[in-house]
Amino acid sequence: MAVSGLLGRSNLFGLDLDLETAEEIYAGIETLVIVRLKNRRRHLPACLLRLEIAGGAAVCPVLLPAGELRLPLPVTFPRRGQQPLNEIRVSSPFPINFFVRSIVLPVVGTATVFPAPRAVPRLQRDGSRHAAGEIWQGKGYEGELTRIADYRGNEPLKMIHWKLSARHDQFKVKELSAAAAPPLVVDPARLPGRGLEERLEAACWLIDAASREGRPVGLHLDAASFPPAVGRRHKLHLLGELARYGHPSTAA
Amino acid sequence: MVTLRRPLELLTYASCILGVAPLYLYLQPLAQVAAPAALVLGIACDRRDRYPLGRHAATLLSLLLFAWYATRIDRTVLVEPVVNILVLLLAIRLVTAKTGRNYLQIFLLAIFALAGSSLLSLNLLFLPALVLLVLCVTIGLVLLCFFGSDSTITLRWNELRSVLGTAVLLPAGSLLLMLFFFAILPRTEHPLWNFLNPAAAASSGFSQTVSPGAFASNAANPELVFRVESEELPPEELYWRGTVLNRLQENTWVREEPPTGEQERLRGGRPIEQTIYLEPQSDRFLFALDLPREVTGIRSRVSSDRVSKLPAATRKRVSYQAISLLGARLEPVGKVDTDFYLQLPAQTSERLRATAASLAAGSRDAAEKVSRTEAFFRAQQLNYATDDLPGPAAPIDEFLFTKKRGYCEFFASSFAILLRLEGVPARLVGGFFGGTRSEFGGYYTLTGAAAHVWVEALVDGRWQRLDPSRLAQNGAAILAAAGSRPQSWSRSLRDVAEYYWTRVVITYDLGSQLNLARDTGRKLRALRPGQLAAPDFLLPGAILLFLAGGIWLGRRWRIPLERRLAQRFLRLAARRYHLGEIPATVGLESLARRLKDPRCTEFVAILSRALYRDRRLSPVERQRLQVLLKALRRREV
Repeated sequence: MAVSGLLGRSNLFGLDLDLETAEEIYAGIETLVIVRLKNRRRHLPACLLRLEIAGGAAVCPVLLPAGELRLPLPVTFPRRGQQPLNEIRVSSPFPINFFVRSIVLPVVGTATVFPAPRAVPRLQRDGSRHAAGEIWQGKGYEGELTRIADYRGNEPLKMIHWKLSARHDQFKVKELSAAAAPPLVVDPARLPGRGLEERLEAACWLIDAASREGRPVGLHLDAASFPPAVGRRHKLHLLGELARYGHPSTAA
Repeated sequence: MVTLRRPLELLTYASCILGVAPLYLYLQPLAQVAAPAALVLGIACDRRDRYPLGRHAATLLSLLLFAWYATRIDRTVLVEPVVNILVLLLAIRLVTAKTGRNYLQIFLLAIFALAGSSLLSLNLLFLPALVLLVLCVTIGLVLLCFFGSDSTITLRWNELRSVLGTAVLLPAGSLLLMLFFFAILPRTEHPLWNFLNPAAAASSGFSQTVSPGAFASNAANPELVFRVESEELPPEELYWRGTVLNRLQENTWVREEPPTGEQERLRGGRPIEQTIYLEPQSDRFLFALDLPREVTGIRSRVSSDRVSKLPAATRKRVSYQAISLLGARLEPVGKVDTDFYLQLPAQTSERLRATAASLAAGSRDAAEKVSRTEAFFRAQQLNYATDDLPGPAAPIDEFLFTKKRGYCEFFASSFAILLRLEGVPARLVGGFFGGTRSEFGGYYTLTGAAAHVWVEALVDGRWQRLDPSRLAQNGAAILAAAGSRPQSWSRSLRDVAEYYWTRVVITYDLGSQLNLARDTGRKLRALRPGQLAAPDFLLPGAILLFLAGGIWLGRRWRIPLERRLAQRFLRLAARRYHLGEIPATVGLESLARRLKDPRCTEFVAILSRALYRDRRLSPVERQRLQVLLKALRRREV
């Protein structure tokens, strides 16, 4: 018993832990948190380590002496916000399964948990049937030619259709559609839902859906406004703002 | 990759063998057949993963067997049914499908079986069996821990090696702790479980009574009776005193407590210290070299005739110390109750009485009578023999005048009776003569075959030892052989191992613990830094050296092989090309380029391939590097 106690104790020592969280984590949806494990001991392996963090757990059967390992832990965060990941519980029944010994190790990590996406009525491009929070932006400058219109004095010169203008007595301009889709600015306050969280969830879904379509998407949050843009970084930025909304610093 | 089930099964089989083997001979036929059969069947079943016994059938069968043996358990017969049940339960468990819990049951049953064997016989084999079983069970428990977390778990070979390496620490540490706790755990003078072990006491060939003629032959009993640790003594002095038989009842010599008020004292003699390790006996006598002055280390009662007895018969091995005075005189103090020592059987043959009368005629001197009696024995041309012995009707008469053959009891008994008839007080002393000296261990071994009886006669105011067996025609040769029986090397080594087992383990009791504590305390108190002698440093020095060696090896192993090889290469290159010390800043490759030695170039190329790709050297590469280093070390250019 004494020797097994000593071995069990030493089994949990000499471990270095580090966290890698996924970029996109949605509340209520399982994600993988990667724990990078390193055994500092040169002669003893670490055996049957069960790692638990934020309700997720995984077992590492053997980590060789001076060995390293990346262990994915399936984790589900129930609420949006910035979730601090400060500690990992490491437990092990090693060596003889009579007792389970555990320690809590500090780690440095934060998971930005976006609101769980909630589908809202699909967007329409004609502006008549758009969702409540969606602001239709109209024409674009890079897409397909949609129609020829009279020059009203504020269109860019490059849009003037010189050949047609020569045939008419006034300038004609080309009206192009937006490159892929019209930009979208999401205002959660105008989205359907029974409360802030549901509206944020809908906004999350809209931003995600628009990004998937390659459509520029912006966000309007009370005083803050984020202009439409495309790209993954931009989407993550907007979703991050949604995650933090109402929680000025770190939130539960 | 390797599944853990296989090594776990192998450890299970080994544990079963180690647990059951020491008690196999004590099992009943059913268990003797079932245990090996179940092992073979179990191995076959594990390979095919098909089992003849289902879970419920196994439980039912276990209950039935348990009930069957439970009815046979008795207060006096407790151990045998229990060990049989254990072995049969183990057999059943072997031929059923095994979950983690079942493996644990098998390990436990094997441990219980081995523990049960210690209640039947505590011989030397117990220790290796225990050590190996602890090894198997603890490693098995570690594997079981993995198995319990996931029964389909597989490990890579290097992982399994690493786990087993760690698992070995468990039995190693356990055995070390076991040694420590063996020394310090409190124990009683009397075993608590003594009643479980009633069959251990054996008759040694040494008898509390001497009754010549009771048996037609006397077979030598080879059972060990005791061992004596002492200096080497002359073979003719190896008389081990046990009891004194002072009263004749018909033809049987028995012991009575010496007459009240009788006192005897020892004078002169060379003190000989002995430590005696006595096997379990049904008698209460404590043996020591003739004549014992004192017996210590055990509770005993000493009579005036130097007979030491335990208060009660012991069924465990005991050890005690004795100091004997070699060549001392045993002198009665005050008046001796001569009537007591001249008492005769109701019937003695006419021929015997006539012989005694003729031997005593014209002499009042006891010494002369003894001398004449010895001459008479020689003249009778008696033979020392253990078969074709005189019958029970008139054994002494038949021995002296007709058959003229017998063993020590006949010689001693007839000699003492003749002396008593002649008016010389005499008594028999029962004990042992001779003993096999072990040069390895520095001790004597006495078996039942060395049991001996001699005579003490009151001559010139002292009890003089007389050994009439020496007066036989072949007596000198037989008694000389008793002192130095040759032993084969293997038997001698085994005897030494058993001796140390008895000395260190079996007889280690409360007294030994107290002695250990007292000695340690005394040595610590007597410790003066300025007065330490060389031997005082030996053990601590050895321990320190061992620890330092361990640390050095540990540090060496901590340096990766690649770095060690690189260091060795630099050392050898520096020596071969007389470079002095190579600065640490010089790279291996630039050094090889500078040296223009193809061996160095190849060495560096192989090592670099591994180092720059951050991988370990393969066995082939390692071997090649060793060959290159060896070539560099050679003197030729």
